Amino acid sequence: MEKEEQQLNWVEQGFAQFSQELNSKRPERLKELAVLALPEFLAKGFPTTAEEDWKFTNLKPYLRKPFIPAREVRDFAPKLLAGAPDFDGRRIVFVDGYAARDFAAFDSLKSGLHVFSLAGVLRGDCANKEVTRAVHQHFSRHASADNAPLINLNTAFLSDGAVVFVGRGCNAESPVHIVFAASEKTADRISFPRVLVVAEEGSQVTVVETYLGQHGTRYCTTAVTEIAAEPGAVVDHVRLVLEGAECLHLSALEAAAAENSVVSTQCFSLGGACVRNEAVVHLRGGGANALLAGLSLINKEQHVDNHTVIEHAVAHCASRELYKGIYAEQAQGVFDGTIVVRPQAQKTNAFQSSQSLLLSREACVNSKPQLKIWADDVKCTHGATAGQLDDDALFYLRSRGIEKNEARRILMQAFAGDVVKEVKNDAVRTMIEALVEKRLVELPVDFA
Amino acid sequence: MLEIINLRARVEDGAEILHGVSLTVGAGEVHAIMGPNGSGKSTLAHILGGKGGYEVTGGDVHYAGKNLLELAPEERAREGLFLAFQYPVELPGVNGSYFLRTALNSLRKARGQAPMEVREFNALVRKKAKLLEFDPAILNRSVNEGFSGGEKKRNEVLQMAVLEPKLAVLDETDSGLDIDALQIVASGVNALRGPQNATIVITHYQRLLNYIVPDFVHVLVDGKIVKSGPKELAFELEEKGYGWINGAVGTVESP
Repeated sequence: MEKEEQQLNWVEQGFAQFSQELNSKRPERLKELAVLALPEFLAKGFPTTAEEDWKFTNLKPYLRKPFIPAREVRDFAPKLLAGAPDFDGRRIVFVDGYAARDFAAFDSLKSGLHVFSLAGVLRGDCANKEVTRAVHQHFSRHASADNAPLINLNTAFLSDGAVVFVGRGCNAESPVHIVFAASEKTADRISFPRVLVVAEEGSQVTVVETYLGQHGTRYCTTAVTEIAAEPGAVVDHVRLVLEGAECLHLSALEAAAAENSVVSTQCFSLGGACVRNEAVVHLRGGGANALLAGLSLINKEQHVDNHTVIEHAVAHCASRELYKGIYAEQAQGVFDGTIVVRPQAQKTNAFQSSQSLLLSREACVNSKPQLKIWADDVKCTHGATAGQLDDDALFYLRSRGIEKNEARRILMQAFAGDVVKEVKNDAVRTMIEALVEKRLVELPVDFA
Repeated sequence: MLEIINLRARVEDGAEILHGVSLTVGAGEVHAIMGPNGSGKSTLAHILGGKGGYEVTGGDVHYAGKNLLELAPEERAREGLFLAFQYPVELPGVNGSYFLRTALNSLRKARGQAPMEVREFNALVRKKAKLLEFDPAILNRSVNEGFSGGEKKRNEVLQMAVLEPKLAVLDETDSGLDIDALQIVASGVNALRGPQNATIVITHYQRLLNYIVPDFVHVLVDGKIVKSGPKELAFELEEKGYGWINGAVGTVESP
């Protein structure tokens, strides 16, 4: 108990100092939210394994030492960014959660697509009335109890973020890439990235969040993404967790899908020491459609937990989940997927699948599907598998002259490719294919 | 080319299946190995291909001047050995064309040749497919995934045509095929026959040998070759069944 109190001390003290230093720069709205969010977070503190939702992810070892809320540094982490994934050079960069470049990259790219600083919009700096209205309507409105601890923590310390707004009927075409980099020098910092995506009626956009950091530096990222898909909008969201080897990465995504909208969120977890990705999607309008997918490629003592909740609030919606992982050495994976079907949500179609490939005897995975169904005319299926590379498949490849390690790589790539091919945007998919290919080479197979 | 001397083998931690098989195959020859179910035919094919799960307890296999049993499966392939599977494995997500080109380039690399570019490879596949009267479109799909029995066997023969082995071992290539498919597969195999390469056809039924005419027929019963002879032996087997051989063996071995 004493230890847990200590864990929270730094949050409280950090908040006091942080507010004193930064409140003059923070927009009123963020200050208001912060004073509400902090006590809510402190009341329960960091989740522990005693809670059902956190049964398989123990944060304690990562919280033994305090974190320091990050301040803005003029360190653009150039080395890190040089190796960052890139589509066409158009990206927004945040360092430790603070905007490091201006938002001009997306100006005039496409009329109807607007990418702004969240603090700027909340301060009233944005000339576009539509964007300002949308931010006030949607920012911090979609949080639910399912991922409250992470959202409260993020909101308490929030000082900026990115707003992606796609106007009615606009197809943004070019992906919006937001890079969150941890700065290179100071250790033990915690940063609070935030993204709000508002896609108006009939619009379409791809948003990619990339998280990067140095190896050998202990730090924490607590990221929150909110997505509002209005009727008929199509939002494809991709999260690339390429964090440094000693990073504690906690992310929460909250999406609301109106009628006939299509929301997808795909999470590629390659880096980080301990990674928790929460995705909560509410299907609130008939005909809404959600895809939640994830691919974890990890080794050593990495731990990745994908935690999802899909709420079918109304009838005639469809959801599909595909989570896969390849676990080498002592890596641990978790998939916990809940599908909630409300009484009025008849004709629901929900499909969930989690598949794991274990490359060593020490690697492990916990998979926990949960169906909470209150309607009677629904189709819900779920399945989970965990196993090793198939010996017969390996022999088949080798019998054609393909060397053992190459044969393994081909099979792993095919396994991972199932998730990668779900990425709709060609440029993003090609980039992820390359990342996956490179990562697979780093995962050793410990079986003879 | 291939010399199997008194080969004994068992399933790992299991009973012995091959009780001393001897067989010599020369260049340009086609050998048929026939036998009832459970006689050890597929075990022999698997051991020649290098599949895991078996333990060789005695004997030797010499191939192209090497001890075949010491080579990894991929090394055997690089020495020109090809195993056509009784049950070709489905590889979801592995594109057929990519798979075959990777295989071909692995063999080329072992021979010190440069990798074949996509365009040249595609031309080669079209040529081979035409020779076999196959539609090369099956290579656009994932390897064997959702293929019919006939498609799987054709895919094996197409791979064989592209990889141009010195020694092909066809393990029950006729199983699960109707006569039309059987004829197509057999004519494919025949098209690939030449004075420099050899084929071992493993089958339960004589009917395949109507289309792939062997130079020698061997009868494998209970892990041993109990009879060898010219192609006419196959007809005799078809007429009298394996019981005839079993009986003959019984007579010979009974005290």
